[in-house]
Amino acid sequence: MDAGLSSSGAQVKLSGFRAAFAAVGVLALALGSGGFPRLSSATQAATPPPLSGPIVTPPPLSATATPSPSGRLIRYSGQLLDYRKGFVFFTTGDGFRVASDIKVDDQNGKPTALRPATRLYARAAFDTGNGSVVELALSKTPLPSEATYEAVRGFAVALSTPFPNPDLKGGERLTGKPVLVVFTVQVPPKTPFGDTIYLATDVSGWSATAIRMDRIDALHYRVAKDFGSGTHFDYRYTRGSWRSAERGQDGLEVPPRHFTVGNADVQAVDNVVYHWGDEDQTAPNLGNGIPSPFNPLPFNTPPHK
Amino acid sequence: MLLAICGLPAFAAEPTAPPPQVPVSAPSLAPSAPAAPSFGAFSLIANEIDFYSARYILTANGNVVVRLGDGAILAGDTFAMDVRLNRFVIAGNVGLWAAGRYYEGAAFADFFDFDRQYFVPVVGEPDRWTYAHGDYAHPYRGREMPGDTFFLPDVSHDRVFISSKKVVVQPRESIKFVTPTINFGLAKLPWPSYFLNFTANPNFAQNSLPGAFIDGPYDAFGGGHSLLTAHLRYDNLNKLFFALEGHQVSDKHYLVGSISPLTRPFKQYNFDAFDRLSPKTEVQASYQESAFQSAFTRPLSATAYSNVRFTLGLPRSYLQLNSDQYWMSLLAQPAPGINGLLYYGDPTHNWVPNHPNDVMLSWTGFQNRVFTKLPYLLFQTRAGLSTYHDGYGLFTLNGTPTTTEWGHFVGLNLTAPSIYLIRDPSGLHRDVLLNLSTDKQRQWFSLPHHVDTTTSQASLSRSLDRHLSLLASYAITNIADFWGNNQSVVYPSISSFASPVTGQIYPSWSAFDGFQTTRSFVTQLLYTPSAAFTTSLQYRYNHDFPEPIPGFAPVLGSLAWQNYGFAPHQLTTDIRFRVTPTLTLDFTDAYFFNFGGYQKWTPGYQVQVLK
Repeated sequence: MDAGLSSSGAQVKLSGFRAAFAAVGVLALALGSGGFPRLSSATQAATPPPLSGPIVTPPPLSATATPSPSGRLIRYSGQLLDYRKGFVFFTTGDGFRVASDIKVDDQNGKPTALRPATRLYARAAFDTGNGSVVELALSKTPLPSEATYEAVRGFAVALSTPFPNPDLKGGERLTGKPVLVVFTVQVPPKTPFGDTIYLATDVSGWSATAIRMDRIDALHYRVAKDFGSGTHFDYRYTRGSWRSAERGQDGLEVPPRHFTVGNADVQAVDNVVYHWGDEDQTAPNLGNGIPSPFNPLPFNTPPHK
Repeated sequence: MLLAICGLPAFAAEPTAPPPQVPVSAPSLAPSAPAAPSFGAFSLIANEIDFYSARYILTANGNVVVRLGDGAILAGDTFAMDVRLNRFVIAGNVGLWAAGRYYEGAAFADFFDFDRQYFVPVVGEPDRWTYAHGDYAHPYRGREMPGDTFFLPDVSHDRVFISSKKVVVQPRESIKFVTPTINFGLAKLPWPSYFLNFTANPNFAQNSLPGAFIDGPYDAFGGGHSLLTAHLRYDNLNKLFFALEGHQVSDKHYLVGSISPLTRPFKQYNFDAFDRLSPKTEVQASYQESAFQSAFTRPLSATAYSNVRFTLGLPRSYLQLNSDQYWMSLLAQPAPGINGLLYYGDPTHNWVPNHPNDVMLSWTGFQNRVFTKLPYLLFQTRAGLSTYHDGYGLFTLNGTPTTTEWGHFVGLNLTAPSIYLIRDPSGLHRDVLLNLSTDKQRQWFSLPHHVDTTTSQASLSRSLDRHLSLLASYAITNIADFWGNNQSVVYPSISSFASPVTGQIYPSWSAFDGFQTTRSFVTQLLYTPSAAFTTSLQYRYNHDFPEPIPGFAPVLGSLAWQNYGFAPHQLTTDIRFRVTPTLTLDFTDAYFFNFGGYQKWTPGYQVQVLK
């Protein structure tokens, strides 16, 4: 499963489709310009650059080895992305060098049948002397952390010098914390008195009855919902069906409203709906199939049996 | 040759050299203002692919292979995609084949919305590479990545809805599952295919199906602009039945058609269409046909209705042309049957010849302030022309049948929303608010008569604290049909009116002479202790003339009966609570105080699953 768990660092162990790809690739490379298609000229011309560090031989995993730190130990917990070629990777994207005598155990320091793998949770003990991981406690559930990410991020190994990402500059830092968002809408005065108003959103599959609102007075409805900060969504107001969805002041269909949840504790959204899609400026005088005292039996239609 | 036959890329056993470092330039795209890139579909193959519908998360484990739309191919141990965030991560023994090269790494993430790909290669030692716009030949090496780039969601407590071994994902639009297994709760059943549509285009949500108590949709086939859905439905009349609905949509138009029930004789065919012709013009059309037919044989009854609405936006107003056409029967006139009645099959499938229609051209202004210094007093005006026609006769007056009637109307609306009647000095927003609105319309007809419609409403509301609010609201509507000397001819005094359902006699109807009044008084207590729980209790008192009648008349095109007016007393309770972060249950029920000795409760309490 993991090349790093093999006995040799040079060995690459792949499976399934990737093994097939690799086998085909090896054949293609080995035969060069033979009967197989060539790789691109750029690939052929490329020369592997010298590695910046020594080739690492993955350490054997041992549940009994005793780590011998050169400095003090700090422990950081997270979820594993990978474990390969002498490095353990966390979902932060950081790769940390693994000590040759790394101890792998469970969260209580006892031997474990688990092996470092993607999706497992791990508590890594870092030797502050050389920044390597000397102990890895594995678990299928999240483990409490003793050190912050900032305390260990300096131990991460990377070939290239980090530099700022202009994509991440500026803007509000959104943490995903729950934010109470209060939507209040003023409806058209001709809204039928007993009707219910709903919020339809793209995150609820545009169901016309996704979020029911509460009437707070003759012209206003309100609903409060929790959203994670940073959530983007589109929404429209309806009266329970798309036929009765909101229309703009110019009578035309309006594009969905867009909202981004900020990092505040509470956010308020005030909207006005000017028209509904099924709004008639005047009810036809004709008995249009709907009985009324003015026309109790339209078209003299006898009742169904 | 072999590669061409297999269609597979060549993966070198040893990592090839990373491409040369390129000058770093800041891309113009910023996360805060994502453009709308077009996304290519990608395929995903793995030992097990699971979709968690409650969280819209797709995971894959074991021999994961992803073929991206830009030609890159990825392999790894595990895969996770947050469908709503439109990004995925593949991790564990990652192989990336792109731009003619092969790289090994620990993880790869693709943020489709920002057109950024993030890679943790292991070229002797780890590194961080960022690709922009799928340019795999020129990575930004060492560039900082978003903190949650390689986050793997925990789905250990979530239920798998669909499992498969191969899917095709169209980002922001759909997932097609090939030969999946669907988890129906009680059983997991193999299925030929499943098409999950989650596009942000609201036109896919346009619904042409009639209402049903339970609806289970199955998206059978589809693409970026189309969707064919089979529905398993239940209602009180038809019990369990199948229905079919199809969508053809774009950002500017939709065409939706449905047949429901497909497997019962009382069928309804619906078609809805919409097109935005220009930024200021749009047209909307709908057609509904109700037929009683066994399978798709010649129906015993068939009625239809169509509506076309054309809207033109004008400066601070708009014009609308609205047309309705009714076909009370689409069938040819049958031979007279029992007692000379006209019907097909038996007299319940009566034949009605009328084909009425109406056309109305209306102009509606924007809301304006009455006085510039009074922001809370608004007015809105409207006017229009109309015509009504039925070749079989609209009605007969003094022995003269009328087939066409012309009309014109003007209307005015005055609104004063949110007037602070009593301000809360504490600043805790426990103010008493007053809302007022009145709407007056007069419609003149060629016959001649005119109809005045006046609706007025007022409400007082107050928040008692952050969680508790009170509302008292009153609304009154008067509709008056003035015929002058012909008033008693058009509205002759009748001795009484008996409900065809209950047989109860309503003597007050004998006094109806064309003037109708409805009054509603509503009090409501709303309690919202948290965003996860809401409850309300509402009492509504209606005092109408003529008095309401339960089971007043049949609904045309249906076997249902409808009431006239509102029950005099109605107590409604609504309880809504969140079960999971994505699921809310809503219970609503109303008590009618034995309305007409006929109706005590709503036909059934309503349980609604909200997202």
